[in-house]
This record gives sequence, structure tokens and C-alpha cells, in this order.
Amino acid sequence: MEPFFFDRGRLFGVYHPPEGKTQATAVLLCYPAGQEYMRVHRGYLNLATQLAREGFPVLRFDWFGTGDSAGELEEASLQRWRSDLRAAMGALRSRSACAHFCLLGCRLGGTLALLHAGQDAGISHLVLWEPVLDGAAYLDALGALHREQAAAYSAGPLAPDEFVGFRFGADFLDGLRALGRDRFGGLGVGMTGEGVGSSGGQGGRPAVLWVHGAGVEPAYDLGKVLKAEAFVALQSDEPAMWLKQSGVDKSLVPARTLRSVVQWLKENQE
Amino acid sequence: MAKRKSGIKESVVLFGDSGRLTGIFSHPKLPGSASASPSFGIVLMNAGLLHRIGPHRLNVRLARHFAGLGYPVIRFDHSGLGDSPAGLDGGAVAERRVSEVRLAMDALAEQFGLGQFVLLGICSGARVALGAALDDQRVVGMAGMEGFELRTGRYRWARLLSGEKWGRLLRGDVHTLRKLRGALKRQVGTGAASVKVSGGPEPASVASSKDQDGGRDREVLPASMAGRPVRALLNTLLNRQCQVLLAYRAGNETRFNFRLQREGDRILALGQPKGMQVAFIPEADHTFTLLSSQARLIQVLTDWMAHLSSLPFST
Repeated sequence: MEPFFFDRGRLFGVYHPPEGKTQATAVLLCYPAGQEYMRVHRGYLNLATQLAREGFPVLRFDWFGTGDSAGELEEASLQRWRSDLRAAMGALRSRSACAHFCLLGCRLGGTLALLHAGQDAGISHLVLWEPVLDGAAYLDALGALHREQAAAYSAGPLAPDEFVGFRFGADFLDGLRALGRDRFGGLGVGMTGEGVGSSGGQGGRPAVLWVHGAGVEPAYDLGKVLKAEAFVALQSDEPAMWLKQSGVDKSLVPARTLRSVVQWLKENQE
Repeated sequence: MAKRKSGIKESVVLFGDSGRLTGIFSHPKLPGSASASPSFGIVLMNAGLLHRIGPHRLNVRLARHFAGLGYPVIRFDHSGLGDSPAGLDGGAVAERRVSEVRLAMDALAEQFGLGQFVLLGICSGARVALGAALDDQRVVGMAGMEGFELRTGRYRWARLLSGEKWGRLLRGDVHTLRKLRGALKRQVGTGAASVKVSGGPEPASVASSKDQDGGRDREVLPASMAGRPVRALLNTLLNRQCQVLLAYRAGNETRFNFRLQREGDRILALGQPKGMQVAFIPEADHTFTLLSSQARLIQVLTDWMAHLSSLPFST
């Protein structure tokens, strides 16, 4: 692993060089936000390690205002994070020398990956793990969780922009509230509706692996909005790694699902 | 190297055997209020299984705050946590963590020419900090946040009468049932002993259990701590003029409720001797989730650091 600062020192990332023969596709891992970021960190490391072992160059990075990157979350915005993703792609391009790229994102990381994919012809694959498609609902759920947890130890009024230890700035909140399914058009990705292991993208358009838990419907309708051509859904039967786990074993890594993701990417290389 | 606001810089540091441990230095670009030659460097440890940024990114805030005041700081990942790979030697986790704190201090010493250090730890990090402070005379201050339970009689009654706990048990919560089963086994001596640090009127009853690495945060004490009451361990530090700050939430929880113990049992059985401060943070939970509680904690730590900086430490 090679930890480093980039984008004039604003952003922190960890590059995982490939082992053995290098694949044609490099992978950019996009974290979710807030507590979800904290909980998936171990799983992302596990995934990056597996991918690198299979020959994929990997970069995972912290958005501005998160992790070891500069700034505070309240200074960030969705627009700023879209810029961060472009910077991270630049860092990955310069380190990997690959021509094709996979964006992999969980939750809000998946959302940003989706928004970026339509602007970057080099994105050959997308792995989207329950991306946030309704920003208002996302904030409502976060707010409810925050109030429920804070009730155990706080009697005072809660700040409306604070969510379980993290504060979103006004720009970010506005951007999230405006986030709806109408934002995700024009990617031109393929859709087959098959299980894991079926065909990849066509003619440079990204192939999509949509990962979801039981009870969460894959966004097939989004596939229609996107005029998708290759869309594969993978249902995970393991607890979502961004959710709080209880019990003695708190490893928070859905090992089988991660292996399936790696396998899909391996099998969908041209 | 990365520039930050308030004239601080951050850089990646890979240290330890073959550079296996990953850390971030935060340090002043220009001399701050800690003077051109800071008295000490600061080490921030992992809290539980969380990586080096700390719960709700608290370690990052602490590192940048104190670097802005002139102190060089390192936050790092112990082996097997965050971006540091698992240890290779197969040795005891607790001993390894204490030695890794020593390596972090060595890294600060080499980079910034420091000879004294202050350790900050939250939850399990507090216990690692205590072990490392006992292990290394260069530590002149140790702040443990939500780190030590003192199981006095009043504490035990409060836990026994906890409605929340009985509710979980009656609902068949797996985690609670497992803990009950473990407690019963310990009573009849058929299972691994508890590894909680115990203190108070009765002697400590700590024995080591099997080490586990990776996904489990099993608490195992270094050999220097096992079997000894926490008050004795803290007294060892105080006797060598190592300053101690213990910070807790000020809520009504039966666990980690220092005030409850103080009111009922004349506290800590230490009576707040010279060199030790105890702070209770309002509106705080175990990981200081509310940002107002983080701000209050940072102020408490800042005042304590200023006090440490005024002391004539011997080198």
C-alpha cells in the first residue's frame, strides 16, 4: 500500500499496486459519508487488497472534509466532491497507466460514481452498492438515527445539520435534498438482468454491477432511464457493511459479497 | 506534505519494522504558542477497531488542533487496524500495541527531536496508552477518555438494576446472552477470564484470555498490567510525575460512570491525587458523538496540555 497526499495536498489516498500481471482496468473506490464511511473502511481495505492481488491497480481516497483529507465536512459539497473524484481519477491514471477504469462506490460514494460516469469515457465498469438515489430520504433517515441515539444521553435541542457525529454544510444539504432519480440520465449503460458473471459493457460504455441487500430492489427502472445495455444485479445475503453491527463479532466485512464483486470484475475484462 | 489551515502541515509516515505501520504527522509550520521548542509530542491511538482518524474523525480534529498550538502530533494505525497490516510475529496483541506506541514516539523523536511525549487514547486506546505510559519513561502525560471502569459495589448494583440490560436479555439479544454465559462461566471457572481492568475495594481479578487479532477487539492487557488494580497502575505513573487526565461522559449510564462511583464510593479510591484530573463531559456518549461534546472535550484537553507545558519536566 502507498498512502499519499494529492491534489496539492488537499486529498489523501492509498494506492494499491497490482500484483502479478496487471489487468487492463484500474479501480477507484469511492467512500460513503459520515458514519457509513467509518463502517466500510475495513471492508474497502479488504476489497482493495483482493483486487490488487488479482492484478487490478486500486486507489481509495478520502473526500475533502473526511478521513485524512483537508478541511471539515461542513466545508464540503456534492460539487466539491465531484471535483475530488476527478482529481482522484487523475491520480489513478498517473499511477496505473491503465486505459480503462472501474468506479466502485457504496451509498453516497456510489451516487458520485454514477454522476461521474456519464462524463468520463474512460469508465468501463461501475460497481454501485445501494447508491443514494433520494437525497431527502437519505437525510431523513440519518436525522432519525441521530435523534434516536442522542435521546439516550442528551436532553437539549439537536442541531439540524448534525448527523451522528458529522455536520453537513448548507451547500451539501441543499445538494442532497435536490438529489433524485432524474439526475442520473444519459449514461448509456447495458442491461441484461442476468446474474453475476454475464456479459460486460459494449463499445466503451460501462458495464454495471448493482449490489443490493435483501428487500432492496435493484434500480432496474434506473437502467431504463439510463438506456442501459448491460446491467447485472447481485443480491448480498450478508449484513450491509455500512450499518451498525451488534454482537461479539464486529468484523463488518461481507466477505462473500466482496469476492463476488472481484469475480465479476475479473470475468468482465475484455 | 500537505498544508492545512492555521499554518500546520501534514505528512505520511511509515514506521516500524520495514515501515509496516501507517501514520500521519501533524505539525506546526511555524512555532506556535507551545514555543519554538515544544515540550513534548503527542501520540493518538486507535479507538477500538476504528482507524486512525478516530470516532467521528475526533483524532484528526485533535491532531490538527494541537499542531496548530505548536505540538507535533502523530496519529497512527496499530498493526491489523486501519492501513497497517497485521503483525507478523504472532505475539500478544497487547504487548505489540504497547511496543507500537513506543515506535510512534521514536518516529516523532527522530522527525522532530523530541524526548517527551503525551499519549491520548479513547476507550481501548486509553488502556493501550496506560500500558505504554507504564512501559516508557518518556511519557510525561496520559489522557484516557472513557477508558477505565472502576467496578465498585454501587457500580455493580446499578448494572444489576439496569432496565435496559434486562430488557435486552428478555428479548433474547444474542450479544447479551453471550455475555451472561461468559460471566457465568467465569463464576464457575470454566472459561476464559474477563479482561476488564478492575479496581475498587476488592482486589483486581484480571487474567489474560486468548489474543485475537483482526476483526475482534478482544481486550488483553500487557503483562505489566494484568492482575493489578487500575488505581495502582495510575499511582505508578503519578509517582514518577507523569500527569494523568481521565475524561468521561457525564450521563446516567451505569458503565464508565465515574461520577456514580465517586459519589458512592469516595472515588476512584484515588481521591484525585496531585497530578491527576478527572473531567466529566456533558451531553457526551461513549465516543463523544455530539459535536458540542467534542468541543468541550477538546477544551478540557487544551487546558490540560497548557498545564503540562508549564511544568518543569526533567529530561
